[in-house]
Formats: sequence, C-alpha cells, structure tokens
Amino acid sequence: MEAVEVAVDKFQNIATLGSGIGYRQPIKDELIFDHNQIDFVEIVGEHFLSLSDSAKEELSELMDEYPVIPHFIGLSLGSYQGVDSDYLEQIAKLIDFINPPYWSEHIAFTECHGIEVGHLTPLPYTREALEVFKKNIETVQKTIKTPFILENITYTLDDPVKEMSEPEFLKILFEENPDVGHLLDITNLFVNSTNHNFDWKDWMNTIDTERVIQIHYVGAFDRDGLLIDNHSYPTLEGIWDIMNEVKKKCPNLKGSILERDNRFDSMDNLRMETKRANEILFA
Amino acid sequence: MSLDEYQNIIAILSTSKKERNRFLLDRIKFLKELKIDNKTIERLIKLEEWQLNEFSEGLIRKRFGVVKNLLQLNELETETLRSVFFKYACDTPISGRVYKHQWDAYRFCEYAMNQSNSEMKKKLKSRKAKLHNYLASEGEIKPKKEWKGPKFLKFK
Repeated sequence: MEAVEVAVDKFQNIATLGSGIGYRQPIKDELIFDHNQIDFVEIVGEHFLSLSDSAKEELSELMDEYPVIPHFIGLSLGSYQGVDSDYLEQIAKLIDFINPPYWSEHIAFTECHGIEVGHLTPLPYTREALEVFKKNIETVQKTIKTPFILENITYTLDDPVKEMSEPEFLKILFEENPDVGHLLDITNLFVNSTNHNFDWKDWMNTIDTERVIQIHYVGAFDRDGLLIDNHSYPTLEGIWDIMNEVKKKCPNLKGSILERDNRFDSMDNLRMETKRANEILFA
Repeated sequence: MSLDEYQNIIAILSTSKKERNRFLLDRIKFLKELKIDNKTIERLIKLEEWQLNEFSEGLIRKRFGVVKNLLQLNELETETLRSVFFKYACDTPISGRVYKHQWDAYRFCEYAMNQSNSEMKKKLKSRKAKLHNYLASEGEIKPKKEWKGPKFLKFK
C-alpha cells in the first residue's frame, strides 16, 4: 500500500492529458492545423534525439500546439550490463528541452554488449531480471528527475521456463520501483492474450492497476491466426473491451494514445478513434 | 541461469540466421560449445523453434518497414526490393544506435545496388546520397557503434 501511495503522489499533480495520438511525419500538417479530437501528442523520442536545429524547430512547432510526451524505444532498461550512459545523457537533454510531465520507455531489452536486436525483446520473468531493472531504473533516476512510466510489450518469444507469469513480474516490478508508473499497452495485452492463449481479465486482475498512468491502443493484423502488432490498422473491438475495463480499474489514468505508425489513409478515422477513447475514458 | 548469458545468446540467435540455423540443428552441441551455465542451457533448449523464427523474421519486417519509408520506396519498388532486403538483413543486424535505421537504409542501398538493374541502381544511388547528406548534417560521418559480427561472450 505504501508503494502505491509514493507512485500516486509522484503523478497526482499532473493534470489529465486526455485523448491523444502518436505524432508521425505523415500526419504532421493535419495535427498542426486541426486539433479536433486530439488533446496531446506523444513523440518517439529517438526521432528527435539529435536535437539538431531542424529537430528543435519541428518540436517547438509541435509544443506550441500540444502537450508533448516523449516515448523512447532504445534505452534497453532490461540490459544486464546496464544502460548506455551516452544514450541516457541524450535522452536527458531532450527531456530537458521538452519539459514534459512524464516520459516513457519499455519493459524490455534492445541491446546486449554492442549487439542491437533492433526491437523490444522480452526478458525471462525471473528474480534476476527484476534486480537488473531496479538497478537500471536507479541509474536513470539519478540522471533524469522527471517521472517516468514503463510499458508492457508484445512478445512472440515466450520464456519456456517461467519463474513467474508476466503479470506477476509486472506487479513485483512496480512494487519494487514505487515511483515509476505503468504505461499499459492494451493492444500488446490483447495480442499476447490471443497468441499465448490466456485471459486478459486475469492478467488485469493480477497487476496493480492503480499504477497505470497512460495507455496505448491501436489495431493488430491477423496473419494465419497469429496477431501481429504492426500499428497499422483500426482498433479491434476486443481492444475497446479492454479499454472499458481500464476505465473501471485505473483511477490514476492521465492519458491515452492512439499509436498508429502506418496506413494514415484517413485522418477522420483516426480522430473517430481518439473521440471514442475520450468518451470511454475521460467523459 | 545468468541473464547476461541469456541476453547475449538471444540477441545473436535473433539477428543471425547462420547462428540460428546452427543452434536449431543441434541445440545441445551449440550451447555446450559456449560453456554456459546448465540452467541457461535448460532454458534455451526449450525455446519454441517457430517463436524464434517468427521473432527474428518480425525484426526484419520491422526494419524493412522503416527502411522503405526512409528510402521513399513506391509500391513497385517495395515489392522488388523486399526479398533483396531479407537476404541483406538476415545476417546483418542493425547497428548505429540513434541513427541505426538511417545506417540500415544506407547499407542496404549499397548492398542492393550491386544486385539491381541500371535503372534501380540509379534510384538507389540518388537515395543513398540523400541519406548521406542527412547523416552528415547530423554530424554522423560513420556509425557511433558499428556491428562487427556475432560475438559470443566468454562466460567461463
């Protein structure tokens, strides 16, 4: 109970952000000129990490229009050998430039002794992995004081020898890191529950939902019975069902992000999705 | 089990088709040669083959998705270059940290130019030049961290 209070305290002064969308180049003009149904945007931090003149200019233009939350992919918080200090410094500079209420990363590793896997790779759900996270989170918090939240990932590669389940791992991870919030990706949850045949309601009942600060959602692609989380399709009804559960179970939620990376054929359709999320979560 | 061992081996198996095939052919022999902890061996032996292949191919699909956008490939070019990219990427992991996708696209242009007809070669040359200019404008003359081939840690 004490851990929850610390976490909530860290995030309680943050105003509700509402219903937002992931900022991507193909929808830049639409977002800048029309705020309809969009309360805030999330950027992929790595796209701006250089803080070059053009990156600063693009970011400033965006920050004039919306609250901006930076979301990172490559810090590799699950790496046994620790986080890359140069990379962390770059993230710190970008966060300093944006001054967001919080920022986010993933519960994964992406790099190991110079080998870049190229994407979010799951860790085995072990006591050792929890200790690695705790150490790496402490390193990050020494450099960056802005609160941060961590996202559950989608995984194809499943740990064959489980010390604990994914939601048990997440529950302990957030218990042991009391001032870190949870970025609950409900599409990742839906995809994993379908591909690995478990009930997402049991999963939700195991994690500490009071720690959820933000959610991600988007559709998924069915390839021969395997759901692929490629951020390219409209949100499936099963994912809206999870969002309804989020409304009931996550009292500290600040924002939701529609996380589309491709197929920006109709901005109107994307705005309809952010409107529906707003009606479910924040109305 | 050591997480360090596990991560090193998973990273290599996911990014090198050559090493993955060697592992799948005889897992015990492959892992014993690495002199790793028995508990790590136990865990890696039980990995599902389809999951390992799906994860590894998914990594390449994601890379190609980014590279095709960076190179602004149209639909026809995308279809023409898809299989070339898979051949290029299956044993060449991404590297270069912040600019890894740009370097991936740059290296792919070099690779694909050698396998393309003169018209495609010309297009790729022009897009490679654009990438070069972008990277130079960001102060990236060469990748910050270059990949030098699959390297297993010395565990014992």
